[in-house]
Amino acid sequence: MTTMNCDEFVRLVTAYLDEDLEAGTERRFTGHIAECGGCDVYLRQIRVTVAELGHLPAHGLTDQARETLLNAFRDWSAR
Amino acid sequence: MRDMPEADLQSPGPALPADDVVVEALRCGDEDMFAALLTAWSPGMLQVARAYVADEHTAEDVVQDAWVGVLRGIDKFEARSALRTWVYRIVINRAKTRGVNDARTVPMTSLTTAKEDFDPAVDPGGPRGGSRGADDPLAPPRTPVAWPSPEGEILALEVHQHIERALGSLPARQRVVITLRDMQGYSSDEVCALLEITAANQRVLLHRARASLRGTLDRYLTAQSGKEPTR
Repeated sequence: MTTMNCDEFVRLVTAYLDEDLEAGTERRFTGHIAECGGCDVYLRQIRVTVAELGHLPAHGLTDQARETLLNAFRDWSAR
Repeated sequence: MRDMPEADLQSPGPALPADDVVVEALRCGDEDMFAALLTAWSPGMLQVARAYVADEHTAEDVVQDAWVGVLRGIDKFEARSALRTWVYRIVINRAKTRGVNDARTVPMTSLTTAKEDFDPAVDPGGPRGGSRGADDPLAPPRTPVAWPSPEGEILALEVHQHIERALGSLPARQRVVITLRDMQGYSSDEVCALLEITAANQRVLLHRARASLRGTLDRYLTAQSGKEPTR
């Protein structure tokens, strides 16, 4: 089993998180985590980043835009 | 993860009746159903539109315009895709057009495919092996320092502000992918179908976007913890 360097690890992070690595590559990937503290931290930080993105507040339409669209719907359905 | 054999957008967001029920209700002029759709889908549509246009106001214009387009087209909707997929395609097309027309705010190059979308995606701010990167001025060797956990309301708010600012600096292609994947929870298959891009391209765009946002958080949180950010 060839070892994985940090560049290769970083390049494969997204595929790993999508569970899309071949079995052998995934073993090398997880093997690298075990022996490289920096890449272990990096992977955790990517996970935190993804989680924080999922927690961003989402905003709806303004009341005015919503009212305009409901009026447009009334006009459209009375066509 | 969600079981999603078809590349249709169904799961995220509040529950609505089945597509055929929704479509029939709209065609019959059921205003409550239209109002429910506006509530359920507009927040996601605003985020997607925002990937292509310069500000929230323009994004709202685009989404309003898209909903009018939905009404004009609903009689001809043939259920070849999920209703939500069809609606998202409408908003993406309009947002792209608006982004191109507004070229003074969003450079056109950020809307079209770029060479780097296909380049091997190493993160210049990421970890480096001892022997690699030392002679590369863009990527000094560094070891990531663990972040303090972003707990506490003020810190969480600031983290969100930093993320939103960083989203604003991403090319549209990256921003729309990370919006759909990480903010809205769609699968890579769904995103590829919606944006008509290959799986490899989708992954590179997501990878670059995540690496970029991680870098932003790293500079902020490492400074927060009282340690000097490396770069």
